[in-house]
Parts: sequence; C-alpha cells; structure tokens
Amino acid sequence: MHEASDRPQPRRGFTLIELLVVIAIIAILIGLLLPAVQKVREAAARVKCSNNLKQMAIGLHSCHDTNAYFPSGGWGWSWMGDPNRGSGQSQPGGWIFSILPYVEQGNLYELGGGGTQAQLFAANTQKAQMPTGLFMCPSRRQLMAYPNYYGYGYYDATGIAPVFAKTDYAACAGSQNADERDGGPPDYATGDTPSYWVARDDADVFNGPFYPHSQTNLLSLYRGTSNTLMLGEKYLNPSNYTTGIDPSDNECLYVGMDNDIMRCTASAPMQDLLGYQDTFRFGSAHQGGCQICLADGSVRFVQYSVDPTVWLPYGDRTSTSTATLP
Amino acid sequence: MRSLVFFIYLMAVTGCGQSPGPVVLAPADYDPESMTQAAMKEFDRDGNGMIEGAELDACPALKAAVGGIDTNRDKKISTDELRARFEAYKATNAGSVAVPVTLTLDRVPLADATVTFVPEACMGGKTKEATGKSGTDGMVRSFTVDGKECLGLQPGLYRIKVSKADTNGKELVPARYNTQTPLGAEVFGARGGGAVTLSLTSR
Repeated sequence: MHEASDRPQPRRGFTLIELLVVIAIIAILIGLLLPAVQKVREAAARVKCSNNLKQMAIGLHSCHDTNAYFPSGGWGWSWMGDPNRGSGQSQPGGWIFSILPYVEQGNLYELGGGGTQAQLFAANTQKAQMPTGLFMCPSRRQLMAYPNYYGYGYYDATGIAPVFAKTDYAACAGSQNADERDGGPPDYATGDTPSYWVARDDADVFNGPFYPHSQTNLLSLYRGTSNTLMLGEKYLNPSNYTTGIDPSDNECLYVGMDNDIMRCTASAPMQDLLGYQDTFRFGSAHQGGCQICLADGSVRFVQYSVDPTVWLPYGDRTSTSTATLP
Repeated sequence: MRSLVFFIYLMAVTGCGQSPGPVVLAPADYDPESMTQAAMKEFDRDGNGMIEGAELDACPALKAAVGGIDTNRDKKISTDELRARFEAYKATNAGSVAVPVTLTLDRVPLADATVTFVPEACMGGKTKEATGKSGTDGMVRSFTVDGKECLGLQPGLYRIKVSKADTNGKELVPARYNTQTPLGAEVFGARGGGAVTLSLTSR
C-alpha cells in the first residue's frame, strides 16, 4: 500500500515566465544555427558549380582529343546546332551544343539528328526548351527553362519556343570587348563558304580560344594552357535571373556565337549587382569571387578584387604578358 | 514594388557608404507608348508605319541596332517592333548598362577625347546625358552622369559627340563629329550588340 496523502498534491506546472524563457533560449539556438545551415548550403552550391566547370572542361578536352581541335564558337545568334555537322567550323551551334556528347548528354545532342532537315528543325525547337543541370549554377537559380521574352526564333528551328533553357557559364572570347556580332549567315550554303568568314575575320578583338567560326587547338594557345582562360561563370543582373530579358541571357544555351555563352576579360569579374547590366565580363552570384576554368582543365577561384592588368591577358591566347593569377 | 526595392538598395549603397566606387543609376522611368510615337513622328518620314532604308540614316542609334529591333528580319523597324524594344528597356530593370567604347581617329587610338552620349529627343528626357574620357588605348572605361562616376548608361537611343581640345583649346576632332554628329548607339545589347566602335576619319 502506498501512502496516500489526505492533502491534494500541488500540481507541478510551468509559470508563464519559465515558458517564455525556454522559448527565448530555443529561438536563440535556432538563430545561431540558421546562418550556419545557409553557409553550408552556399558552400555545397559552390562545390557543385566548380564540379560543373570541371565536367565542361573535361568535355572540351575530350572533344579536342577526338577532333584535334576545340569545338567551334558557332556561327551567330540566329543559329542553334546540327548533330550531323561535327564540332568544327561547319557547326552553326555554339560550344555548349558541341560538348553535349562528351558530357553524357548524347541523347539530347542527337535529338532530330537521324531524320530529315524538317525533323531536325522541329526537334531543335524542343531542344531549346530542355535545361541541363550541368550548365546552371545552383547559387544563382533553379534548374528550369526561363521565358523567351523577345520571342526569338532560329534559322534552324521551326516556330518559336515559349521558354528557353539557359546557361550560367561562358567561354572566353578574348581580352578585348568581344561582342556578339550578328545572326550569322542566312543559310547553310553561305556559312560553308570560306570567303563569307574571311571578310568577317576580326582576330584583334576575338583573341581568345572561342569566337565565331573558331577552330582553335592546344597549340594555338601560345600563352600556355595553364595561363589561358577557357571557361568561367558569366555576370548577370539579379533583376533578370528568371525573366529572360537580360541581353546576355535572352537566347537558348545551344545558340551560336552570342554573349549568352561568351565573355571576355577586358574588365575584371564582378559579383552580380542589382540594376547593373553587363554583357561582357565574367562574374557570379558567389561571395568574394567567381570560379573559372583554365585551358589546362584546372578550376580556380578568382577574387573580384583581382588586378585587372593581371586578369586581362588571361583572355588573350596570343599575349606575351608574364603576369599570373595569385 | 520594384522601384521600392531599388530605392532601398540605393539608400543602402549611398547611405552606408560601403561602395565608394562607381555607382549604379536608378532605372529610367520609360513611357514606351509615347516614346514610340515620338520616334515614328520624327523618323518615319513617309508615314508608312515603318522606319526603313534612308530613314534609318536620320537615327544612327536605330541604324546600328536594327538587327536586334527588327525581330521579323525584314530590315525595317515597324511601330510594334519599336514599342516592344522600348518595353524591354523598361522591363530589364537596369539603371546602368556597361558600354565599352573603342575610339579611333584615322585608325589610331584617340586618347584624352571627350565622348558625350546625348539621348535622342524621342526618349522624352527620361534618360540622362553621360560623358566619358578615352584612355591611351582609345577605350572609354567609365562615364560621368550628373557629376557622379557610374558603372554604365541607362538603356536608350543616344547620339554620340566626340571632342578633343589641345592645350591651346583648339579642337582636334573634325567639327562634324561634335556638331552634326553622324555617330550614335543604342545602349541595350539584345541581339543588337552592346559594344560601341567609333572609327573617325579626319577627311
């Protein structure tokens, strides 16, 4: 038998103050934890991003091993790509299109390739809408297709796609203000005519590894592969991460030579800055610096505070400068 | 809402003084409809609703950007195409657009010249005039708007004046490049090209 007391036991409970104190302590602990979680998320995103660059670099080098030259920069902003035209000067699509088979995206590359020209053009409209995680930086935006704001079409695609897959990475076109030039030749026959391109040769501006109608190889990187920039993250105005309005984020990623997929080293990389639109420089959403990939395949982190005079010659494969990144 | 966010951002930048370098301008308050009407009234001489052929010569900025504005590739700028372009200026929500300028006189880089971007009348006074100075390599790297150094210009159609005075104040650039200038550029860059190359000739 247990001793039952006659007096009713006073009920043990919390006072309001005790409850508030506990809640306050929990709130402080969560407050301490959340920034740490955010930092880990950003660190993970940055590692994913650097891995993306590495994969693309391996793709470019595999392409070089197969063909003895790097993929061409493509024809112009009015062209996508044709899987039956190789990855050299006769390929209208840009470098992203040409490395697809070397980064495990062979099926995407071949889409529409086995049939007639009409089937290819129809498939290209579909292709333009299919994003690939490899070409998106998770720090910046989600893996999805974004609006085709301007209603752009391509010479080698029927109809107008409502959305476009995008890229957050760009190849290096040079150390001058290399700019997208035009839509390219109006048809395949003109594009296959050498004289059309001779008249447009602009080696002073396009001195990087990738430019319109390019076909560079490792030997043409006179500054050495470890001292030449191959790829990097592209600068983008945060207002237009998801709108497709920014003039350097308005095409689909398989486009030929365009600022969407090409940048230059004339100005130092910069962190994405609200309200500032720049279609020329490299840059990223990361804090402190952006990630780049040199032509030897090494992925580097370049601080935004990099000396512009050291940064500039990295885009010029013919430069004689001896400056090296820290 | 966007302007509010931008205002807060600008206050943060200017108020805290964290960024002493070049500033980002606030996006201009564009009115696409009235800008389109003003442009068609000024440049569409024959009144057919298209700016084409010789009419483009009257507006060097439109002539330079016709590849981007003319979305149906007929080499003519229709009222709708122009309105869509002006709407894009508004929608892009950028106050400063990077405009790399390369300046040469008789194929030689022209240093220490003043380059002035004057907005076309059809912009309705919404965008601001900007001036820059060329470096020894003939490149203009930064611009001054309202006395402040800024990262870039507001999107729009501009006429460009070039001037360079020697130590005695004598003008070294032919007068046609600063009075009745045939130079112009669109500051935007969607399929139009964003870089400006000014190749002046003394004759």
